[in-house]
Amino acid sequence: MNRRIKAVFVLFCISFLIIALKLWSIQILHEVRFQKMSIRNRTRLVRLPSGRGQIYDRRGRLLVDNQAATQLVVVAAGLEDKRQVAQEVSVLTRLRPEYILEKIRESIFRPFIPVVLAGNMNEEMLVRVAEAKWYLPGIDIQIAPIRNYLMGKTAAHVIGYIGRVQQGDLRDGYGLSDIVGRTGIERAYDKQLRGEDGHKEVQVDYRGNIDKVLQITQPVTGSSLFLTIDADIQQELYEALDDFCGAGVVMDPRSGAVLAMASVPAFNPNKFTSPVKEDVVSDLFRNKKHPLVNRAISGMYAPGSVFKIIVALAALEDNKITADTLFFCNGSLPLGDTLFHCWRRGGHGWLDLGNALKRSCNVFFYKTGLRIGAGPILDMAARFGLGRKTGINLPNEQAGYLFDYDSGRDNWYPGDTVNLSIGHGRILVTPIQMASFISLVANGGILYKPKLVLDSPSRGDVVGIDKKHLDLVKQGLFRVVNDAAGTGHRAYVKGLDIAGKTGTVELKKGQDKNVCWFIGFCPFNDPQVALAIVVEGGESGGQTAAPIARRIFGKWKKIYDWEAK
Amino acid sequence: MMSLRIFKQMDYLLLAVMLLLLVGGWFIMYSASYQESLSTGINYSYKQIIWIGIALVVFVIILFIDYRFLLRYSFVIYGLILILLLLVLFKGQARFGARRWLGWGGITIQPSELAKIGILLAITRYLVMDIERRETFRYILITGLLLAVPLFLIFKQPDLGTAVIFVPTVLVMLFVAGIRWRYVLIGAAAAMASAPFLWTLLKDYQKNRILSFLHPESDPFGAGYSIIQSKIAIGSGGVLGKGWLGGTQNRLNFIPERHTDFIFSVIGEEWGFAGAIIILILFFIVIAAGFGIARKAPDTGGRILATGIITLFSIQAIVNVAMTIGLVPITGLTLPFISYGGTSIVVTVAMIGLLQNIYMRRFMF
Repeated sequence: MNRRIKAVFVLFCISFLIIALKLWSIQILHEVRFQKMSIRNRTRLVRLPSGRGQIYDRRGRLLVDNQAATQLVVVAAGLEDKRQVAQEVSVLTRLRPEYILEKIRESIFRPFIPVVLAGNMNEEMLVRVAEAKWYLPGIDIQIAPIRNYLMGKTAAHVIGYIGRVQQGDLRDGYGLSDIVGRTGIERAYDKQLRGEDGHKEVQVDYRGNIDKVLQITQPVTGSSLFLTIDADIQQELYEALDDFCGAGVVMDPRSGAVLAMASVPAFNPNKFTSPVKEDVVSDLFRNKKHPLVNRAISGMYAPGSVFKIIVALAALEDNKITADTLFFCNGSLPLGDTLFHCWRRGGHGWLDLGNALKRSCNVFFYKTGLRIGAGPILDMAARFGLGRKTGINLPNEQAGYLFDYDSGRDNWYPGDTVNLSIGHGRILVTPIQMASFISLVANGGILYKPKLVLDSPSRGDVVGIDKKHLDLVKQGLFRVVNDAAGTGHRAYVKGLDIAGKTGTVELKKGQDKNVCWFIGFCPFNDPQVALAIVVEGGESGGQTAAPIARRIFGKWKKIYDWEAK
Repeated sequence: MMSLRIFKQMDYLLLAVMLLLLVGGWFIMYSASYQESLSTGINYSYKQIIWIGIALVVFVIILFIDYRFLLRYSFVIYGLILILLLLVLFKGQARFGARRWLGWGGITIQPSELAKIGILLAITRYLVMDIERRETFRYILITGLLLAVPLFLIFKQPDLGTAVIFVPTVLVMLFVAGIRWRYVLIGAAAAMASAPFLWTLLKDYQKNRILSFLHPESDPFGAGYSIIQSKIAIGSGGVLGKGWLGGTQNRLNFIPERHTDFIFSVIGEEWGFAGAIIILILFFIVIAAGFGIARKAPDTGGRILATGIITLFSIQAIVNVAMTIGLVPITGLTLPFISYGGTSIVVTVAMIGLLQNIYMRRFMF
């Protein structure tokens, strides 16, 4: 009997030995590993988001600020029955239960970080949620700043909006859940605006409740931004364009500072404040008129007759024509088998450069173009910045298109030269390029890089153009607006010397679906404001775009007069 | 009735170690319920002092009652226990989904703990009574029946832990009583063969515990949580531990059930490998002393009873500690002497009292 007792005892001795060895393994061999797990268990890094900088216009008026929003959040770690919670929250908020469940699942790997279900609760919803909160553990209300775009649609494209960081931005040192500028100024100046997030290292209990704060790094608020934009002119530009589809850029020709930039149709950037209302946003993305595209920098159009300014300058610089050169317009120009028409079928008769610009005679410029050839015209266009990005600090700028004559000469026909002479054919420009170009004409030959931030330096390149030639062209442009017979007379503002040029590009014969341009500047003797307006599907540059320019110049005059007093 | 002289023959090392474990256990209990006491104002350890007091009184009383006297009336005790277990099933208080407690006024007792002594006494009594038939199968069958009835009632509560440790304990008692080797082997095989059948009887949470023991990482926030957190606690304790009241896993509530089932995790975390090993050595001394007493018992009854007691004690201690370090599934067993639980402490101390009782009478025939 005692031997059997001994045998049992030996079994227990072995058990003790195994336990001691296991303890040795856990506590001595793997001590470090378990210590790390214990630290990870109980410490959490809580991000302290920095306040995003405000955005002001050139005269200190607030364009974008931050508002306190009451957010409905869910903390996955606190949930017991996910389905039931989703159901009950759905009843309270009218959010779809599937949407709520999806949000909860999203956070399953970060169970202690609140996930936003509703970004900005109205008062009614807030009261309902607050009353129900006590029996819904895991559901909480938190105050968070959201971006408030005071100008709404009016300055949507230039200012842009913010949103959750996207895959492509991650390499720039952003975190996975960062809110960053997605387009416009918000994106281009994100680094200045966002400031630096702070961090709080906290010790938590098993439920994630904070036990104590271990370490804290305060966030640094982002810096405010003062734009060159003038809110009044921006407002006027947007309203003048609003009925159409198109874009406009207003610029100070003395510095390249953008006073206004608008693109229509526009969108309301406040719809992008988190969490995004998906149906609204997907409508914006699907819309055939592409309201999210900033046509002012991304829209590419044939320049049409506004290009005649460049043809004229190229011809003058090449000494192929002078102020006194006359060409006869009988309504068309035959070339090979083709007849190239003037827009006026009856013809303009004998014309000098000034009259040709004023009346926008096509035949005059056909003949001028053929005399100098495509090469010098395209060279001149390139010198004025066409075919490449202006370098404005906004995302998604397009370069337009300029035919590469040097390497593509074999593929170029005289008919192409004729077309090019009136800004048709193998050339595309953006409104911002046209604004920079007309600014160059206005300021006597400096091509400025457009700028949007007030205290950023002006950077301009002097394009060597003979002053006499520029003045000659400018006088023609003056007559475009100020002569009753000028094509741009509808841009005329009493008491203001405006110079400009219209352009009309027919997309389909005989329909009023034309690309309509007006580019111009004023005052004539001391240019302070230049603009480029483009409308898709209007009647003509003179009929459609010039009246828009008129409103802008008129508005500018009011501000100018008011400031002068 | 009896001479006080026999007290001189008590195993004083066993007594000292038992007291050491009670005192050390009380300190770790204090730490385990410290955080909760900050908000509730009630520290379980104060209640535990009273229970330790009661346990020591019971201990002394037991010394005076000759174990042979208890064995004589063991079937009566067995009957009373069955009645208590039935009462629990129908009138018991439920906590954490289990119906294990009986309450009168402010006192609650856990009859499945009391049943331990009753079952051990009754089975010992039968094994001695029928010792000539020890080589027959009938001997095993009757013993099995004696165990099965109360065990079924305990299992129904459900109290898996207590039920599980009794099967090997009774097998050991049969083995020591002298059944044939082949029955021992058959018994062990039968126990293993019945496992799938037992599986179907288990509650879902019990199945989860076993599954999560096999794959704790498969559900780190669910069933595997306890075992992972317990191992983190013990492992992060290192050699010397994080100090008394200094365990973060303990204080921040990461260890579940840490004043009962997972008290050893707190020991490992706060007192480190050194403390855990010292506690283990103390337990080992108790067990070695227990087996020593079994061998020196004056009669067969004493031997089998002592073996049963110390086996039950050992399995409970070993399974509890093994559970906290992930060697066996979570079973809901307490650590003798240390875990919170009034009846558990009293019964454990009473069982050691019985061992002393047998030991003191080793020269009396």
